[in-house]
Amino acid sequence: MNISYGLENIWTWLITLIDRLFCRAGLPYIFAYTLEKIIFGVALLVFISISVLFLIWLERKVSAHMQSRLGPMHVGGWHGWAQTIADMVKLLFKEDIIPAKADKWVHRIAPIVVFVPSLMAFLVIPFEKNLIGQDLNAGILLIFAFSSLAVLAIIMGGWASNNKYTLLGGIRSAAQMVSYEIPLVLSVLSVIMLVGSLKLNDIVEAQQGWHWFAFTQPLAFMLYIIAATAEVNRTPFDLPEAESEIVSGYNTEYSGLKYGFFMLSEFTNMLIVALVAATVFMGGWQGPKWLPLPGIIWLLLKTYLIVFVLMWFRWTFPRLRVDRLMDFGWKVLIPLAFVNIFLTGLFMVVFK
Amino acid sequence: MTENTLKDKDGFETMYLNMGPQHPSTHGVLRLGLVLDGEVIIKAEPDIGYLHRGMEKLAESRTYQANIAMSDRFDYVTSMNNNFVTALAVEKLLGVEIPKRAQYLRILMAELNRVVNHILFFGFFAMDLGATTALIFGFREREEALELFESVCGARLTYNYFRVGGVSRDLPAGFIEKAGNFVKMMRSRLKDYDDLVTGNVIFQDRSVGIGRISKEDVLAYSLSGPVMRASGIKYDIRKDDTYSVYREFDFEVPVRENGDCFDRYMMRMLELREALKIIEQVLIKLEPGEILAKVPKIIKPPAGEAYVRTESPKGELALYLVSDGTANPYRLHLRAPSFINLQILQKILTGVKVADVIAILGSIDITLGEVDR
Amino acid sequence: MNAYILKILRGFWSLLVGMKVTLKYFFKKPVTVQYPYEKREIAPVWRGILNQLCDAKGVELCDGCQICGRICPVQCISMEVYKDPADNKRKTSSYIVDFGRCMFCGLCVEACPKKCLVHTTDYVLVSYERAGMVLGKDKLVKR
Ligand code: SF4
Ligand code: SF4
Repeated sequence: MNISYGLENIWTWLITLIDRLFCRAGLPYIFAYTLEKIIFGVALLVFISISVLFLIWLERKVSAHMQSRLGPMHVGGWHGWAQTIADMVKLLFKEDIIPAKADKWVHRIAPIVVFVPSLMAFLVIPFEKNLIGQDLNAGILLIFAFSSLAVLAIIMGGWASNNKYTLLGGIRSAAQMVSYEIPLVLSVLSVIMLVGSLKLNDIVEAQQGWHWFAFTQPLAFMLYIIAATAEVNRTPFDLPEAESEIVSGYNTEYSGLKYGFFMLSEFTNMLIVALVAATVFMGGWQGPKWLPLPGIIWLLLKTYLIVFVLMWFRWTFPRLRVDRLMDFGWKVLIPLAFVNIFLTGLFMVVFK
Repeated sequence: MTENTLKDKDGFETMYLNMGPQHPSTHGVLRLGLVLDGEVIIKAEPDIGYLHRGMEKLAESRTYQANIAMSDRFDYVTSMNNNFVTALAVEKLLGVEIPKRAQYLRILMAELNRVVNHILFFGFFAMDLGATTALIFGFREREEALELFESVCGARLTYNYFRVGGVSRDLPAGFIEKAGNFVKMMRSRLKDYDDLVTGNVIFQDRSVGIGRISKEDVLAYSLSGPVMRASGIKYDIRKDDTYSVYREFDFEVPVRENGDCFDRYMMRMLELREALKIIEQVLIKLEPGEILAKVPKIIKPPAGEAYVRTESPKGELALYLVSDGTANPYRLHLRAPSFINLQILQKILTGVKVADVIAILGSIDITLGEVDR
Repeated sequence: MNAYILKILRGFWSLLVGMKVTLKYFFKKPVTVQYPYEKREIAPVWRGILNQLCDAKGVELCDGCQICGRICPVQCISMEVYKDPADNKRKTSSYIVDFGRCMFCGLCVEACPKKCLVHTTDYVLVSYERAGMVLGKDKLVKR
């Protein structure tokens, strides 16, 4: 595709500029490369933090309006847009409490461990064709690999806090995340079979025009959304932090900035699964030809559509019970995912 | 319990979990000591008394009228019903005749309060199962009802509306219309409730077959109210041992058979509809008239005792009142439905999951204010 | 097998029905108000902070009969009474209501024979200390 608009042009222009400059200065390419990646990483971090703040605000607003409320209206003027910023500042100033009998170091590093993998996954998502951290040829695999690391942090937090509620939350989340990882990957597998590549850009390009996999693979799409909801611990699968049962689950004993990290990572994870859904199933950065908007806008529009659906789930459904959750995962989602893969395979063999 | 010596069936260590008194969904300050094997409960010990205010003792140093004011605080969700039973008991001692309009107003208010209680139950029960929006919906509708109460008696929670011999104030202008609108609004909202919660597959999954209470247990533990009727015993004091003028109204006593959480939930939803029916009938039947019988300024009932049973939204709310002829009661005892319904908890909690504890506790519908008094 | 699929489909449908409800309210107008800026209307019969009424000339109606103090379940009304030599009437030199204890039950208002004790619709009662909740004649008497 040779679209001449979008953020990627600026980015390629910037890369070329840096390359040239470094070349002039007689420095090896590796310096230019490192600088480019650092710039990209910082830009990504800024993007993530802004989006997360926005997501939290959005969550509040969506929930409020679904419940005939208004949500935050005061801070910042227009519909309380600065409320989350104020909250984050408040969290920064809060006392950082470590329970006396906690495993101090594990307790301390758990919030970092939870945050890093969710950041890593952003590296391989193509915001536009060339606007991508690293177009790995196993991109989608990397995302799943990192997102399954998040469970480690949750168990760490749950165990180290030395509180029975956090322990229950940690164990619940371990069971849940491990079993929902499978349908998550299986649902994407059918798409990968069709595309024949793990590279996210290939998957996006396979959905030229309106051939979204959401339409050609509706079952896989649905399975993905369900499993993704479970993966990011949102209602109806928010058992690890079910506040009416186990208070706040694994992060009960966290306060201040560390709690903030847990909360932020939750929303980052949500952003990731929505981004992946938009990329893999909804055509990613491609928009209709007649409306030449930058690809990143299209991607974000699709992402926020998914995010809205996830929020909509959250504010509508009750929570599943632990054993029923396992039942649902193993007895409904996984068989359906296999059926879907089987059908896809059959389809590919027959219509080749 | 400090030392946990119970072992699970394989001989492994168990975990002792203190649920409450500071817990988001123990409906106040109930403490549950749970012995857990993983997520399964081996033993449960409800521990009450964190909200004990000594109301039965306090009652002995207060006048009868002040006792009605205090009865607001027994179960602060159903203040009107508490008012009702206290006023009835004093009137039984005094032997006064209540004017017709006052009787109707009392029933109107008691039933409105029943609606409020059941809406709140709906919200909290759904909330316990994780459906946050239902809670807010419940509160939204409750607000409308509270505004009705406010326009009549000037308070939103502690009404102190009943007087010995009648009620304190007459309805304001336009109340009947507003109440009629409320009933209509409530009916349409009930449909939303059903769509949002009752029919929801996750909700049913969480509640059907959970915390089953058998008929025998109901009788053995003397449970009452919706909890009893959900187990298949058709008994409603308003019908079977009627008081005030409930005889004149046409309403059903719904029953369900299974006695699980879902049936207890459904009972409330059905009763809510019946309560709306009664409200509508009262609104039609209301006629102008006296609202307060002639009673002396200082109420000194003759020495004696009275026991009055009423059907509060939570169950059988009864009051035992002994008078020694002075201005204060000699003894006041409350048969609190929340307290007695709570007794079954220990039995049905054994063997369920942690998540179900909350569902079962929610489905019994207790108010700690009434449990501890 | 059929029943299994039917169950899944039916469950799925019920979820959609639930989502329809929340979506419906998403587009409806919220029912809440922005409290400190807008306030909901309070019923005129609201049982709020007590007030003492005066007659047209600004003379207090209360004659210090003590009935309100005696009927109050929590004994939060106290007053000092004297006999005014000018017109030989009983009057109150102080009339204090402890709103930290008052439960706004309205019994005192009902009992007052002069009908001079009334509830206002004022419900805002804040103070840094308990003594601030104890209001005397300067706050209570409406001239
Ligand atoms: S309203 Fe009730 S509590 Fe308050 S002063 Fe009057 S009688 Fe006492
Ligand atoms: S009852 Fe009325 S007249 Fe008597 S002291 Fe109280 S306020 Fe004054």
